[in-house]
Amino acid sequence: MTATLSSLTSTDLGIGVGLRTAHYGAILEEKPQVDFFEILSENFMHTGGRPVHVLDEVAARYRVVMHGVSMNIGSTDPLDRAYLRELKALQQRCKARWISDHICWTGVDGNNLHDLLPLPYTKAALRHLIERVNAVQDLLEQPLVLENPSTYLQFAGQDFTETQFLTELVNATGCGLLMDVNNVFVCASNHGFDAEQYLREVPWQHVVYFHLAGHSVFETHRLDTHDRPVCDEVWQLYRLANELSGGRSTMLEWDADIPSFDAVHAEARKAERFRSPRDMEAAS
Amino acid sequence: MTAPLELRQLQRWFAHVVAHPKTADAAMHSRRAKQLVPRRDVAGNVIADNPRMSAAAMLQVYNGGYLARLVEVLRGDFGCVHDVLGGCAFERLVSRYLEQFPSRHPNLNQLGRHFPMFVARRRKLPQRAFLAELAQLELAVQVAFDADEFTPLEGDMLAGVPQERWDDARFVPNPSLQLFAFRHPVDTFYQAWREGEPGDAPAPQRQFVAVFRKHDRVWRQRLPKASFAVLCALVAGRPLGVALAEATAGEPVGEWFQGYAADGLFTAVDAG
Repeated sequence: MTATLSSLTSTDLGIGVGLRTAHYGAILEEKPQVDFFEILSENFMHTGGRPVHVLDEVAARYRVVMHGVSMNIGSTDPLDRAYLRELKALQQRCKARWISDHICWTGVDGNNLHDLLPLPYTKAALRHLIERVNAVQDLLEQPLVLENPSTYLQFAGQDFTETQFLTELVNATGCGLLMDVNNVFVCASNHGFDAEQYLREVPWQHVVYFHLAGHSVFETHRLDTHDRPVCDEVWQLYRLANELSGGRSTMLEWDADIPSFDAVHAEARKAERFRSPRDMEAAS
Repeated sequence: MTAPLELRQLQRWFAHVVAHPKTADAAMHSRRAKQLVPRRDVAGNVIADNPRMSAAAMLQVYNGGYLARLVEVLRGDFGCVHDVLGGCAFERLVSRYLEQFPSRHPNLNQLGRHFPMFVARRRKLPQRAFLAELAQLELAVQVAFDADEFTPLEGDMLAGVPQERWDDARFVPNPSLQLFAFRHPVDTFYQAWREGEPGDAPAPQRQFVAVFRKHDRVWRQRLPKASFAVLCALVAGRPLGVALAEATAGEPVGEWFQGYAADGLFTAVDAG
């Protein structure tokens, strides 16, 4: 492996934001001071136009990490090795510090539903996931970083809670975790568990970075929409997550009804009030 | 890698419910879903109970999100078609489209690749011939945007072609270049829509259009019929002398050719 998990978990890149099309102009022209950018991997695959040129310019100036939505790691379809090779090539192009995706599946029988669909937290699903994470890590030659998803149902007859499932997974594979604090809050609300207790059960030595985002509230459930500021409850959970982890790189997601780059960046920088950064890596 | 059967069966059932064109509840009652998971087993045996939501309501979050998300993606790619049809009709069209052409690619920029052909085949769709060409133009803009990277042919490479070899020279088109002989003036209509002045669906009228990327921007260029024919011949790999024969005497072929080159429509020349 070209990178070790400890090298990822000990790297505090600071506070980052997502690189989104709506902000390309502002970023290239104004060259704002940003600790790092997270790119949506698929936005820069199968395209040779402006996105890759923007990425080249951003990667030359800023630190970059990769976050994907189509690895389909939990699916019972065969792994898409062509996709994984393209992912690796993209990482080499933009020198991304790590590659992340979600603990979920996105399709079966070759179809892609483009959603982060829930896995049952069973022994069989865990065995399946461990086998595939190991295969992906062998191909990518680095620890994969996986995010806890927002879910809107739970399966009956599960063998594990989510944190037990995550712990078994990281212990068996050595993979990293992307702890999405907003997803923890959304799931706790939807499924009726204690979000703080969840955070106390997280295997922190495997957590590489945090996600923050806003979500929508409906009468019966909360929906992870990334279309508004982070709510107070999530900021408080983020404070606890920092206490428990000792601090990690943090990234704000804003993917719908996107305001100006300055507004998104200002929302991300609020994280400074809740975190005690470790020795931050100097910006390149 | 052998997958556990139970998980595969669960995923096939779940995927069917999520992608069903009506609702999650209707999906659970479908023959396909019941073959995988009997309806009576869903609540409690497959989906854990939730005091605030039924199993159908929880699954509907995924079912509703699926169509909404992909309609939004295709609205981004086919905004003009969307506005001509109106939101409801566009959503119904997309729902049918997804049944026939579900996404099979990791990247959403591939989702609309079959949309113009699908529109052309919708016999009950009013103005389908016009809408199919409009969709084709909008798709061409996306395809040009995403085409592979390329380096346009530099002027000094053209200058290096000996005079006596020009007739036999063949050109390699840049990968974003697409040529269309439309039966409707869709480019005129599309431009008016972009300028916020959409009109009624136009009467048939031939329109020849090149769509290509230059300096990371997508350009659409209407061409005279003869210029279009010359360009088509060059793109098909015919020698320059043969391609220029598509034009009639007196037409400004030299000017056209200089325009093609200045627009970066070629990436290489083979002068034999």
